[in-house]
Amino acid sequence: MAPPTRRQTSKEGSGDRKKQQKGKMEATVTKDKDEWICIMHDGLLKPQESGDGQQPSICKLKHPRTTIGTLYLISADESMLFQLHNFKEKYRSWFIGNKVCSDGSLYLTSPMDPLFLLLPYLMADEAKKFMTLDQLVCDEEFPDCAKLLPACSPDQVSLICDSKDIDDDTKVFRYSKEKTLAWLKQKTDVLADALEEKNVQVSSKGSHSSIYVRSKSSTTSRESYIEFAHGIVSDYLCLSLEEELKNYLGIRENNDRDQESLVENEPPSKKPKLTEDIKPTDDYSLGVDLKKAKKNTKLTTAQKQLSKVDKSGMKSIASFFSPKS
Amino acid sequence: MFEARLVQGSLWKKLLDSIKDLLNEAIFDCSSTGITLQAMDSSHVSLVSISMNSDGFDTYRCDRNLSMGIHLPSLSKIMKCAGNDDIITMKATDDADTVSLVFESPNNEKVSDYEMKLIDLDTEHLGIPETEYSCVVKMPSAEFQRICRDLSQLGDSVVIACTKEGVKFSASGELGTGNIKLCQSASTDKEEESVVVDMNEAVCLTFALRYLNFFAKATPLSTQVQLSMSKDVPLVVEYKISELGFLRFYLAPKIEDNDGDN
Repeated sequence: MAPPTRRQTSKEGSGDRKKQQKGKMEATVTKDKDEWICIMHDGLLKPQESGDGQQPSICKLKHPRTTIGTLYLISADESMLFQLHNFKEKYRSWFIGNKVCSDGSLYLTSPMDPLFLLLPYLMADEAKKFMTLDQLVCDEEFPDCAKLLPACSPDQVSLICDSKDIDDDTKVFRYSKEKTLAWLKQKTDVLADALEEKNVQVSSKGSHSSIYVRSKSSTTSRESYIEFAHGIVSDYLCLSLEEELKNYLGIRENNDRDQESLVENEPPSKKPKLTEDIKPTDDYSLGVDLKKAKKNTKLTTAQKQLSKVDKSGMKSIASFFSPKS
Repeated sequence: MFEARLVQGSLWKKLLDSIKDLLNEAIFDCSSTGITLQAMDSSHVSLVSISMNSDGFDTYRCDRNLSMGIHLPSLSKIMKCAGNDDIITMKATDDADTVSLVFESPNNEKVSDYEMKLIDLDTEHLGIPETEYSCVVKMPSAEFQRICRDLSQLGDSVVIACTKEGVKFSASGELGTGNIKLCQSASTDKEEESVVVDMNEAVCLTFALRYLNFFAKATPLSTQVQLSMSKDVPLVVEYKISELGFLRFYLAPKIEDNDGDN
């Protein structure tokens, strides 16, 4: 799923882009593979003004949720952080120029807020002291974490931290839970808005085909969208923060909601029990002579033939004979 | 208690075969004088009247008048179970909801016993006055059957014109026209082959052929058929049921509505 930053991925042809970053990629991927298809964000492809030959780099950073080393892409000027997604299907290859690339997987980049990656480091500061960022963010296991710092402006970090100016150049920060939750709430709200706008089906019950217009306009509550968005955001948060955000957003336990939404949103799956006697509006049994109805049943073929006879000009036999009194 | 025993059981079989297609249900009215049946077909343009005298049966007993509503196709099915030579006995108790049929083979080697449910029917009886008809034609029943069958190839209705010389059946349709003229037999050596026209006034009537074809199913009952006609009244097709009584079919004529304001 996309991170809760605004997505700006743009589709680009693979050709020269691929070559552009070939050198860097070779370092991290097996040697015999030297070409991939990657759809990249425009920001990664801007011609470098500095001209110092810097290229977007792939670095291994600690995933905020899983704490496992995960590869991220940092733009050449180190201002933007991108998530890398690999989409792979069986039995797929690419044609590149005149060659066939047997690796049919597709790489996608999506911009990501580096604050999510900073969070674990900031929260890890148990002393709750004001420290500079480079003091806070240091990790022997993932030395590349230093690369995060240029991507995070002090203003951004201030969104989740209390900060103090030491002097003109130095700023010190301290993790603030309140600020973080407020910031995450905004993220969640923005995401929920987007979900609502795109009409993403977030109902927890049953799957719905998005191509069919539902005859009954389902009124998915804002609450459902918020909850869904919270789930997405939580993919980038540690467990404790996820729980705190949940409380902060006022999302109730699933069970409560399920029961309530069953009543509110979903048509009852079973017939409601009728408390009072309900009578049909029309009684078709009235005026139906059962004996007559019986007469018309089970006509033999001969009788059917007889009923087809053209009886124009023939009066009923009863009109010739008077009923016996 | 009702019990009617008929040695010539095949008569029952023939009788039911001839009416089961025309009528679906009917009431057999049993009284001390005999069994009668009167019913209209589902379209109410024809009427079947059966009368069987108690004298014609070999044993007849009816303590109280009894009306038995019978689903005729069902009774016909049961009658088919009887052999042609079987003696058929029909029995019912006074307030029964079933009728039982006993089939005895001629040498008394086999006795079959069937019981059939009666149905609840509610029909009105029509009073049919004994009237003089303008024309009464007696002719071999097989001949009548043949004429009806042949003419139904040509059209849906037949015009029966009766004059002093004889009787003429004509039909016309897309195919063309056909006329069959029967003259009075000069010599009446064999009664069953004779054509007799008894006429007071010439008559010309039109009837639906398909109904006549259904009536003609009673041909096995009798060698002779009697057609009685008067202007603008129903045709009567009568088959005698040996000494028992008769089977009569009444059919409303087709009356051309050409004077419009009528």
